[in-house]
Amino acid sequence: MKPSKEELERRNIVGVGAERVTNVTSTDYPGHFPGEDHAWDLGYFRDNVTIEFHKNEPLEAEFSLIGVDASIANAFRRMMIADVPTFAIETVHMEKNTSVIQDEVLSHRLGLIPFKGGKTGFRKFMKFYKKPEDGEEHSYVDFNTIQLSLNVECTHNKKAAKNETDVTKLYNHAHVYASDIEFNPVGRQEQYFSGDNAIVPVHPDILIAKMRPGQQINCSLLMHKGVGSDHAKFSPVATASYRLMPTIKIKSPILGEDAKKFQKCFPKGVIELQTVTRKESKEEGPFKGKEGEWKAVVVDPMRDTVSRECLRHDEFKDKVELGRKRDHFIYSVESTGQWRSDEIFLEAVALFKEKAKKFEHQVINMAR
Amino acid sequence: MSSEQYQVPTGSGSQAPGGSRNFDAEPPTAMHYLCGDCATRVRLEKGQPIRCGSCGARVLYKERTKRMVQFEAR
Amino acid sequence: MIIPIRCFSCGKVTGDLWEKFVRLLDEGYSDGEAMDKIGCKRYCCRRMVMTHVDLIEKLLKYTPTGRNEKKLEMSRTAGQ
Repeated sequence: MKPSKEELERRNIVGVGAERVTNVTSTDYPGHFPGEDHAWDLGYFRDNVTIEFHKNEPLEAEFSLIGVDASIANAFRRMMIADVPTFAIETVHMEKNTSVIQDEVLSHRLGLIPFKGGKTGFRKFMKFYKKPEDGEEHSYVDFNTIQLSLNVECTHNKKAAKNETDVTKLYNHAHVYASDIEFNPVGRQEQYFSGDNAIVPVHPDILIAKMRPGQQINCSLLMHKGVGSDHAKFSPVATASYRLMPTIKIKSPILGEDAKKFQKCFPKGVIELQTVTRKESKEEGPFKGKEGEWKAVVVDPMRDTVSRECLRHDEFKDKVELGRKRDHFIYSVESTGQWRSDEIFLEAVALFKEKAKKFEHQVINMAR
Repeated sequence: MSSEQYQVPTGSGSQAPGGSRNFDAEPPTAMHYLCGDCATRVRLEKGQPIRCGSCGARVLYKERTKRMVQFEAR
Repeated sequence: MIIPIRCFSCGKVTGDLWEKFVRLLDEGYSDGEAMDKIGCKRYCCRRMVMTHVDLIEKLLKYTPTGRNEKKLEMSRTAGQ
């Protein structure tokens, strides 16, 4: 026996009350409802999964992933944060540093700068660097290490006006920026990372240090490919998060001044005020004889923050039902610039597939 | 500050770090310091009074090591 | 001391925002507007620029030339 559409919808909504949440666990598992088969089915899954982009900019994306379980959605989120690889400086060889920033602090700051480079080189050519075991030699080769250098010296600017007070004009290199870091390609890196594909800091204006005449920084930097689970500097995202799609159900109409007050309980754009039409006022029902009055209509529940403000007012308490759709995940991904934000999600999906294949192998071995 | 003229006073620069120095062959006679007042490089022989030659300040600082130092960028 | 490269909480790059922020403040923007303008929307990143004190500017005065200036200033005030 198949459940009705209303029943399915009811099961799919997490209830949000003034002080509690109801219907929290998902129930679409085999054996939960007698007579219903909820076994996982590829065809059903394929027909029901949808991805819809709301915003897709290089540094910020917002999209809905509809029709998957929370565990899958969460796996994608975690992989975007911790498993999608990027470049970051790992080792700093400090030859000279007479600036006021200490060596350790300077190294740490350099490590946090995000770098971008040719994508094919990054995906196909560059491999992860394996840390040497105790007693082993370093193995820096062109496919696991990228060499950069930072050589700046602050000097007096002879051309500066006599009464100049701006230090950036008074001195050369008073401020050290990420753009001062040079890329020194070795071996085959030349063919993968040249021209537009050169390895450069994503944000050239990052302030690394400030200096005064006579101070100098000379260091060579080694960069590796790494993942966010190792260190946050490798994470390709600033934030990657999801929330469930809010639902607002108005059970009995909210009219007149109440409607205006109701609108104010929500963020802008969620509730719209519409007038009751002549046709509605003539029909039997709650709008009868109310022509021209304001009524509250839900237009964009996605913008709601589910603050539950409306449940604090007695007049709305029984008229409205708040909830969230259990299988509708609104992701928001903010890239740090090495990848386009939508690419990060695709990378995460690809990695997920790879991991699933590895897992399949192990399950087969286990069963044998 | 001209670092070209500078010679490492104690043995050659290619010496392996941590290796024993041969004190008999070339005893260190002079060291360079930085003046705490005018920041010029001051050359001091053994037994010389601790004083800057150009400004007379008595605070001298040790120079930073010539060795490369490795740091983890974490 | 110097503006942190990244936001402590979320990892957004803040290292290039301080100078833009100060420039906007000079142009007469309020700090809230300035932060909106440079793209600091979360409160974690906003506190990075808003509560930053650029102490490195004070440390940079400890140079030989800075010392001379201080000496000259002191001799001037002593003469009065």
